[in-house]
Amino acid sequence: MRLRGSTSTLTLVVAAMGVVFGDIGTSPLYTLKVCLGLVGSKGDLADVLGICSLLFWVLVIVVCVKYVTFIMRVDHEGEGGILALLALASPPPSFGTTIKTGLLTLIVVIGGSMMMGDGVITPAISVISAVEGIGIVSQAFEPYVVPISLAVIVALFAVQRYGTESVGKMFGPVMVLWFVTIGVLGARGIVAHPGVIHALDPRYAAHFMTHGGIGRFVVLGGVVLAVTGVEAMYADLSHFGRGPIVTGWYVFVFPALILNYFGQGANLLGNPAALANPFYSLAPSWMLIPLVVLATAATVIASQALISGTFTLIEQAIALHLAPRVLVQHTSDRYKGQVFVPSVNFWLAIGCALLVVIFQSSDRLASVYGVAIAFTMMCTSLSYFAVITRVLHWNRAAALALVAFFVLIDGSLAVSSLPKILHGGWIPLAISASLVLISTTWLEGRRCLAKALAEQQIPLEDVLEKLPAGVGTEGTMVFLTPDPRGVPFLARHRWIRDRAQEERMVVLNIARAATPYLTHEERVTVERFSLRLVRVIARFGYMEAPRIDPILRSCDAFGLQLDRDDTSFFYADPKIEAAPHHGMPGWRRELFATLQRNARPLPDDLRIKAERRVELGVTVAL
Amino acid sequence: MDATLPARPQTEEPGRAQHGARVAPLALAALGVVFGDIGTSPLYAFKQCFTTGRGFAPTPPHVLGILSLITWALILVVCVKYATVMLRADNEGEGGTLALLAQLRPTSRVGIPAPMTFVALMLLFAAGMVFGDGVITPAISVLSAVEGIGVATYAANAYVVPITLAILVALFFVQSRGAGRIGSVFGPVMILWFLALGIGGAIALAHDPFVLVALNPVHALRFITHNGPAAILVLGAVVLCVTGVEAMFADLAHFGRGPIRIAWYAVVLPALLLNYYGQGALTLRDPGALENTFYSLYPGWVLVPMVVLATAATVIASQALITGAFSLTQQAMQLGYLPRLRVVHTSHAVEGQIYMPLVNVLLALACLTLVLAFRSSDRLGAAYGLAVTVTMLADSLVIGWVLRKRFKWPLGAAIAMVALFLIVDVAFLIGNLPKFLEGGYIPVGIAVVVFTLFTTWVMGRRRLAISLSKLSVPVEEFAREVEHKPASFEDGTAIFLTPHPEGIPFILRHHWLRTRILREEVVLLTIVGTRHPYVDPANRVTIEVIVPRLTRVTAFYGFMETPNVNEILAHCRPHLPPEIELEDADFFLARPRIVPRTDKHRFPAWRRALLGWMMRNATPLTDTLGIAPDRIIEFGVVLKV
Repeated sequence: MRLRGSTSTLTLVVAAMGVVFGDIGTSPLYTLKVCLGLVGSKGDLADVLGICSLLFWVLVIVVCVKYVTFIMRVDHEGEGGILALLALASPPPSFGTTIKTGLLTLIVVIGGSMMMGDGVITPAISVISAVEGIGIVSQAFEPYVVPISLAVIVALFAVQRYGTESVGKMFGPVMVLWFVTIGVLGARGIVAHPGVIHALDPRYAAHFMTHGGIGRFVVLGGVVLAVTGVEAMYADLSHFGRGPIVTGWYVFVFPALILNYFGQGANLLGNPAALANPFYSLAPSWMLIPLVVLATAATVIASQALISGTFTLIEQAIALHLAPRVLVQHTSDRYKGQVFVPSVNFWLAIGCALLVVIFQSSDRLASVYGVAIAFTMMCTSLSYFAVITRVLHWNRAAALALVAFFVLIDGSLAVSSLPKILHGGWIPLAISASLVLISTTWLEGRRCLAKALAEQQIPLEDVLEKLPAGVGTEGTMVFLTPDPRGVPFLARHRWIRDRAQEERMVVLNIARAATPYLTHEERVTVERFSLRLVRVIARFGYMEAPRIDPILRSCDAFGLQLDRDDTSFFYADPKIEAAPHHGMPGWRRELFATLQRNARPLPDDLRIKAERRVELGVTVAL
Repeated sequence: MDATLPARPQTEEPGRAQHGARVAPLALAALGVVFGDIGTSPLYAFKQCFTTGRGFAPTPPHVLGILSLITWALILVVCVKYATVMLRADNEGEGGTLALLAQLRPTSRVGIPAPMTFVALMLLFAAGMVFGDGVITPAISVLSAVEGIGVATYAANAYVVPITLAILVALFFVQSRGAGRIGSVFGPVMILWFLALGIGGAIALAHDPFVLVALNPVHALRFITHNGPAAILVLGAVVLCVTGVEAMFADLAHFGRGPIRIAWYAVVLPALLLNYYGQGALTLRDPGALENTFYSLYPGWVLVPMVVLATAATVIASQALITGAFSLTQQAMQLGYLPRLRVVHTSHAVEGQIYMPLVNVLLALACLTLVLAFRSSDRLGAAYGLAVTVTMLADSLVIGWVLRKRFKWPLGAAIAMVALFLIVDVAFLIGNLPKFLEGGYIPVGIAVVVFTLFTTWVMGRRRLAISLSKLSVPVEEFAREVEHKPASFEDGTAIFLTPHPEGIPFILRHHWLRTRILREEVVLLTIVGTRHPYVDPANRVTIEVIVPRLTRVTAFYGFMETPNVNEILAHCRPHLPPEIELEDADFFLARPRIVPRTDKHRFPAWRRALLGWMMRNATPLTDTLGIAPDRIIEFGVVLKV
C-alpha cells in the first residue's frame, strides 16, 4: 500500500499499525512463556527480572538502535528490506554481464530465504497461539484448537486472491485497539507488583546470563521471538515511509510491548499459576473471550502482513533475477504494491497447514520458530555494511565497528537458537536451504543461458554491414534478448538469416531500472541504426510488472509501429543439455531444467499475443 | 522390458512358434519376472488370513477352510482365468491392461483422439490401480522377507525397518544403471526359492498329510457358510495369494504363452501349494507358529540362509515390478494417456530395456514412505489387495468383450464365463472393502491421482486437437490463397509437424500469412500412433505429393516403439524428389497457449492448470524425435480447452 502524500500523519501511523507491526506486536502471546520454559524456570523473582530485562534490552538494541536508528535510514528509492539493500549496493549490470553472483548476492539470497523459511511458521504459530486462548476459557474446547486453527488458516489463504484493499482499512484501528489493550493489561500487572520495574536495569539481564551456567544461553533462543517481526518492519518501509513507522513504534508499539512483557512478569511474581499461560492470565476472567477474539484478529492481521510481505519479497526477487518468474497478479488498481502470487500462496498454505497438524501447539511451534530469522538479521547487517561502505562512503573503521556490534548481537541470537534444530528447527532451515539452492541454481543457469544466447548473436555493426539496402517488406521481427548489443539467433538459425534479408528487425531489451517506478517518458529508448535495424531498450522499475503494451505505446510515440499483425516476437526456448566439461552436477541441471520449464515464459508475462510469438530452440550446456 | 527379460520373441503368435530348445530358458526366466510377486506371497499371505478382522483361532475347520480357499483361489483365478483365458486376449502378442485398451480403441477421426468410452475409463482406472498396488508390492515383500531375522533373534527386530529401507534405496538407486542386466541370475535364484518353498512345505506336510483333504472345495464352502461375514473378510487376505497374477498377462510379450504356462504348472503352482499346505499343517500342530508361519517351517540352522534367499527373491520380485511400472508408463505415454516423460535406454543391445527417472523417484519415495508409515508386513497387508481386486474385476469385464469379438463366442457362453469370474472377483472385492479405512485408501488414492492424470491428458489432448483442427483449411483453399497473393519462395526445405493427416495445417498457413514466404519445398509430417504394438518397418511411412512442392509424409508407430525423425527421413529418402533437402530442413511446429473455451463444457480451472502443468513438463516431441534444437521454430497458437 502506497499511501504517501497528503494524508495526515495520524492516519498514516494508524494504517501502518495494521501492516508493519502485526508480527512484532503479537509476540507477547508466547514469547515470555517460551523463555521461561527454555530455562525451566518456575517463575521466581531472579528469573522473571532477568528475562524481562533481557527482553527490554534486546528490543532496545535490535529494534530501536539497529533497525529504527540505523538500517531504516537506508532505503532504495523508498523501498526497504534485504533485497533493496542488494539493489542499492550493486549497480544495475551492464549488458552481456547480465547477473553478478558475488558474495553480497549470496548473503542476500541466504537472508531472504531464511526470512521465508521462518515466514511459513508465522501464520501457523500466531493463529494457533491465539486460538489456544479458548482452551483457557474452558478445557472442553481444547480438542478443537487444531481444527479451528486450520480453518482460520485455510480461510486466510483462500481469500488472498481477492486482495486486502477492502478490509485493509480495518487493520489499523484493530491493531491500535490491540496495542492499547495489551498495554493496559500489562500496566495493571505492573501496578500490582511494581518491583518488576527494576528489570529496566541491564545488570539483571547480565546477572541472569552469567549465573546458572552455559545453559542460560539458550534463553536467547526465546528472547529472539520478541524481535522476529523487525525484519518485516523494514521490508514494509515503502508503504508508509520511515516517519510514520518511527512515530508508531515509539508512541504505541514499544511502550505497549514493554508494559505487557513487564506486566506478564509482574503477574507471575504474584501468581505462579500464571505460568501455564502468562499472557492470558493477565486478563480478568470476564475479558478472556473478547481478548481471545481480539488476539485472533491481531494474529490474522499479522499473518496477513507476513503473507503480503512474502508476495512482495518474491516479486522483488524475480525482478532482481534471484527467482524464476511466476504468475504475479495485481489485486488493486490504486495501490501498485498490492500483489497476489498464486503459486507462493498455495505452497505457503500447504506449509502452514502441515506445521499446525504436525506440531499441534504454539509451544512446540515456538521451538522451531526464530531459528532462521536470526540469520536473516545477520545477513541484513552484513548487506548494510556493503551499502554504507560502497554507497554512503562511511568511514570503514566506524562502519566495521558498528556492524561488528550488530553481528555480535545477531550472532548470539542465532547461535542460541541452534539447539532448536534438534527439536524441529531443521524444518525452517531445510526450507531456507532449498530456497537458497533454487535461487543460486537459477542464477547460475540463467548466466549460462545468457552466454549461450550471446554465442548465437551477431553484433549490430556486423549486421549493419551485411544488410541489404531498402526498407524491407512489411513484416517486422522483434527479438527479445537480454543482451541488445547484437541480433540473437542469426548465427545459428538459417531461417532467421533468410528472413533477415527481407524484413525489418527490432532488437528489444527489457531492462530493470534501479528505481521502483518509472514514468511513461522514461520507458523506452529507441535507436535507429538504419531503416531496417532498430534497437529498443524498455525499462521497468523493480516494483513494476513488465508488459508489452506500454512498450508498444511508447514506441508508437517514436514513430515505430509494432502493434501490428505482421510483427513477430522471437524468443529463445532453451534446451538444456550436459556440458562436456565442468558442468553442473546432474541433479542440479535437472533442477534448473525443471525451474526453467515451470517458470512463467517471458512472453506470457509481457502478455504478447500468442499468434505473434515465435519460439526458437537454443541449446544450453550446463 | 528389461533384461530380466529376454528379447521379444520374433513371432507374432506367442507360445505357438516356440521351438522346444527355446522354451526351457524362457520358462526359467519367466520364474523371476512373472512369478516373483505371486511366488513371494507365502511369506505373508497365510499368516494374514488368521489375523484379518477379529482373527481366527487355528482350529482344524478354520485351517482347512482357509487352505481350501487359497487352493481354489489359485485354481480359479490363476489357472482358469489368467493362464487359460487372459493369455489369449493379447494384442498381437502384447499383453497387459493398456494393450487391451489399445485393442478396444475405435479408429478415431484422423488426428483427434477418440472420446473416452465407459470401458476405456474403467480400464484406465484399473491401470491406475496397478500403480497403486505396485507401490506396495516392493514394500510389503522386502519387509516380510527381512522380518525373518526377527524370528531368528528378537534382538534383531529393531533393525527390520532400517534394513528394509536400505535394501529398497539400493534397489531404486541401481535402476539408472540398468539393473535388468543381471537378470540372467534371476531365474536360477528363483528356482532355488521355489525349491525351498516346496521342500519346506513338504517336510511339514509329511508329518501331517491330513490337511490335504482341504483340496476338496467343500471345506471352503463350509468355512464360508459357518462363519458368514467374517469369512468374507478372510477373502481380503486370501487375495494376497494371487496378487501379482496380472504380471502373467502384462509380461506375455516377453515370454510367450507356452513358457509362462510351463513355469506355472511345473514349478510355481506345486511349490506354492506345498508351501501353503505345509504352513497349514504346522499351524495345526503348533498354534504358536502363527507368529510367523512361513519361517517356522524351517529349522533354526537354515533360518539365516532362508532370510537371505527370501530377501533375494523379494528383491527380484520388486525389480520385476519396477520394470513393469516403467513399461506400463511407456505404454501409457505412447498411447497418449500420459505426457512424454524422459526415457533412458540403459542397453544398446536390447531395445526394450528402459529406465524412467521420474517414475523411479516417485516409486521410491512412495515405497519408502509406506515402509516408514506401516513398519510391519502385517499392517501393510491390511492396505494391500484392494487395488489388485479392482484390476482383476476390470479384466473380467473386458474378457467378455474379447471372447465375443475375438473368439466369436455365443453371447450366453461369454456371459456365463464372465459371471463365473465376477462371482470370484466380487467376493474378493467385498472382502477387501474394509481395508479401505486401514490404509487401502493409499493405493486407491494413488490410483485416483494416476487416473486423473490419464483422463486429463487424453481429454485435454482431444480438446486441443479439435481446437487446432478448426484452424486448418482444405488444400484447395490454401492453394487458391497462395495463387492470389504473391508469395516469395526461398531455397530449402521446411518440415511442418502436424497432428492432422489431412488439410493444410494451421501452422503452414500461419507461417505463410505472417511472412508471405514459402520454402521451395514444404513437407507436412504427421506421426500417427497405431493400436498395434509394432509396425512393420516396410509400412513405416506413406508419402503423398499433394501439389508440386507440397508433400505429405505420414509415419506410423506402434505403442511399443519410439518415433525417431532420422528413421522417418531415411524411409522417405528413396521416394522423394532430390530437391527436397531433408538433412538441412527446418522444423516448424505449433506452441499452444491454452485458454478456456467459452461454452459451458469447458475444462474446469484446476483441470486446465493440471493440463498446462503436464504440457510444460512433458518431454518435447522434438526431443523424442531427436531434432537438433537450432532447427526448431515454434509458432504460438491460442487453443481452447
